[in-house]
Amino acid sequence: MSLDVCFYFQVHQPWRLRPYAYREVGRSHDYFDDRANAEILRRVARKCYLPMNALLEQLIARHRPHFRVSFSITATALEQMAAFAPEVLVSFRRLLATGAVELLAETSHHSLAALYSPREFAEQVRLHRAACRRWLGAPGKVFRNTELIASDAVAAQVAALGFDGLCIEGADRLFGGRRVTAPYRFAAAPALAALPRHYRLSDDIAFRFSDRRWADWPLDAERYAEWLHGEAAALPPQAGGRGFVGLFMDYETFGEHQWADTGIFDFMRALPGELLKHQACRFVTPSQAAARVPTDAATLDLPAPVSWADLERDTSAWDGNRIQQAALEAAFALEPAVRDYGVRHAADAGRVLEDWRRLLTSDHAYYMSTKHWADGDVHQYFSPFDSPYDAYINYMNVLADLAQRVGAPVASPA
Amino acid sequence: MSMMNDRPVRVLMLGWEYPPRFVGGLGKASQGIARGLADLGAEVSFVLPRFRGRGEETRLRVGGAREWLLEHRAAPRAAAAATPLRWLDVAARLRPYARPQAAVSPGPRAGRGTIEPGDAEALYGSDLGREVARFAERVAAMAARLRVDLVHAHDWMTFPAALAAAARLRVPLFLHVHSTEYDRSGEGADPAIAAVERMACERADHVFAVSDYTRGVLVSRYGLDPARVSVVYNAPDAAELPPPLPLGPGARQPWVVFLGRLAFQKGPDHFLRAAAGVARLHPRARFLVCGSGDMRQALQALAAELGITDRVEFRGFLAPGAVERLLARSSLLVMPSVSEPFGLVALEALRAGTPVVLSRQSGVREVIGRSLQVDFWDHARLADQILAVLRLPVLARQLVEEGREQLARLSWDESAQRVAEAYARVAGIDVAARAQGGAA
Repeated sequence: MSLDVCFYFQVHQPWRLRPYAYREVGRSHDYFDDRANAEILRRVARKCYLPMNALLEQLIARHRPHFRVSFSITATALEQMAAFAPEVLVSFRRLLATGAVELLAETSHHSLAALYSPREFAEQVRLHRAACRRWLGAPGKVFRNTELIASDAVAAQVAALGFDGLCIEGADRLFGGRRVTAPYRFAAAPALAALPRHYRLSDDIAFRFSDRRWADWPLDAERYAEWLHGEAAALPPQAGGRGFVGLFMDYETFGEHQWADTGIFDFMRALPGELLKHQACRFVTPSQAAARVPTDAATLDLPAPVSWADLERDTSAWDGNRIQQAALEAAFALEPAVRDYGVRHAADAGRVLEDWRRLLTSDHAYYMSTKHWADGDVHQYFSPFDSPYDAYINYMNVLADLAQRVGAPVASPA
Repeated sequence: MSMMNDRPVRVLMLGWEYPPRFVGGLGKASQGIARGLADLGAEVSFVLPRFRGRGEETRLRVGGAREWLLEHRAAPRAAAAATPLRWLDVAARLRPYARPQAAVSPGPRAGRGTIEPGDAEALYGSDLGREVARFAERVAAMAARLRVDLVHAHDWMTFPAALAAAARLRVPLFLHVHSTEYDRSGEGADPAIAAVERMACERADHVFAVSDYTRGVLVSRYGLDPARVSVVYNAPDAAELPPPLPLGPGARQPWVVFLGRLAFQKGPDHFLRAAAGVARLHPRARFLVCGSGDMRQALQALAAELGITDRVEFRGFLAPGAVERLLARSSLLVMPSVSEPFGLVALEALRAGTPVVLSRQSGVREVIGRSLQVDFWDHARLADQILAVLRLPVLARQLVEEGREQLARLSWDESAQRVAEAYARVAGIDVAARAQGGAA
């Protein structure tokens, strides 16, 4: 029996929009809230990125060569680090230099392009690779799509771009009672290994860790390592007795969502040692995990998209209501005009394309979600807007200006 | 259980407006509570002061008697059983607001005969203090001949009468606050009226507030113990929502509507200031100011100053039927109130399938929380919201859908249930149990 444990931390920051009124359309092309973006990035850097990077570096050194982790870092986050907190990039470089850290590939702008525009999707994957190379180092051959959104169609696109593996949400409905820890490939893209997120074990850290009403609170590393060992012990002897546990979560879990005083850093400090006490468990990078999935592994069907968001684990966090759908459609509908503009106005092309891509970042649509609104859920917690409607209005105002810049027909009030 | 307690609970309810004679939300809200309690099995005697003037008998279809009983037609769903809601009328001269404001208008059921808008002064008399006192005297005198289990009174005009009646009858007193003097007049509150509200609320056994917003005003302005105030939200007219009327450019005019008294606390001036921002960017938008009140001339001057005279229509006071028709043709209702204890007009708009922008300084946002909201002073933001609703049909559609979803959860029966719970908790008077006892 051996259990491959794969940590992957998501690092993402959107370019948040400033309040942009309709009366500014045609007058101001300055859409982003530099002050808020800088403040948030610096705060998260102080509370999470810097202390957690330092801790991981220590842990890698202490347990060398057994402790490994991986990151997926969006280009929008990398560029904000470069602009607002370059010391974070330095710290990530030190981590990468240990050789025990792998970068995942994803879209540059944390977009939903995989669902709307295969061409833009491929370009953003290329842009992300370029941004990683520029700031940190090249990502490996395992892909994670925005918010773990995956489907047969997405898997086919990812395989066509030459990747070996794809991270997905380990949603129960994909497995039909089979073990999430078993090796899988995609029926729609057999070249691609599936790396499923073990949502229960991941969310024990990401969501439940500080929840005092949780039966297992307070969680310590020893007990958590026991749980993982239990997963290893439960592996069936056939198929080589091998299993995979994907512990995928937002990096901000450490210090930002779970504050330092919850003990989250102490938990992580102790976890590798506790886990490595169990012979059956070892840490792997996503590439190592993908390489171990046999070519004749069982396959998964994903007829409809799954994601790691909300209880629904589908795309409804971004396209669940009318205004979200309208906003996404309006944004992607600008693609031909934006590209055409780029051909005609080479000097301004880069800026227009970048502005458009920043508007494709999924967070903007997330702020417009009306799901569970009354319960004051995470959508509103993360949103800089008073309501999903205000988020939509602001977004559409900006989009109206962008449309005017590139000469696209714009919904006019007249 | 005594003989007495085998009878349905008898409520002496005091009000100053009741459809079809009403000027604002108070009449409808009082009716909703009265009907809801009757539905639950209480016998409600609704007493209100009556102006003995021309047209009134015709309007109420009564023939000149000073005091009468009317078998009241309750909500349609309860029509099968003879409803125990009784109507008494006591002659007294009152005017409902401290200043001349909206005119009384005939309601949908008035049929023949009207009262001219604009004669509010003539209808309600002018010496408010005397009228309140006279109403109190008459109710107290009447109370001597009544047997009731409790007194429930709507808003300050009826509070002296309610105190007198409850004292004479030695029954528990429940006061229902639909608005406070501070909502009506802000810092210009009349100290005498504020004193009546404070004193009455202090003496009452329990107080109902139409929103948590109003409950907060009662606690902060009058120092009431929060435990003695419960929130009872208003509800739409009928439990059944009609199908939404179509939205979109074909079905709706680019009309943005203000509907309410033209008084400081309703924020009509904020409406005009936002309208000026919209008018510059939306050549077809029109702004309809519906209501009458003491700010009309000032508002007309403001519209001129803002350069939007040709875009603004002052429609005056609208009868309820006209309100529905107007809302059904409009693109948006804006409620920019400076202080709005509830805001029934927002529910009426959603009923008609018309989107709304709600003031953050309102009670209705507590029940229509998933909505577009604005601070009344933020004219630029309000203008942007109005433009967006006019420009983006998808937004209008979702606002209406989500608004109506929330609207469907409100009902007068539910609100009356909250009232009955308080009767039971505070005074040990169980409406539902005694309704069954009476039936047995």
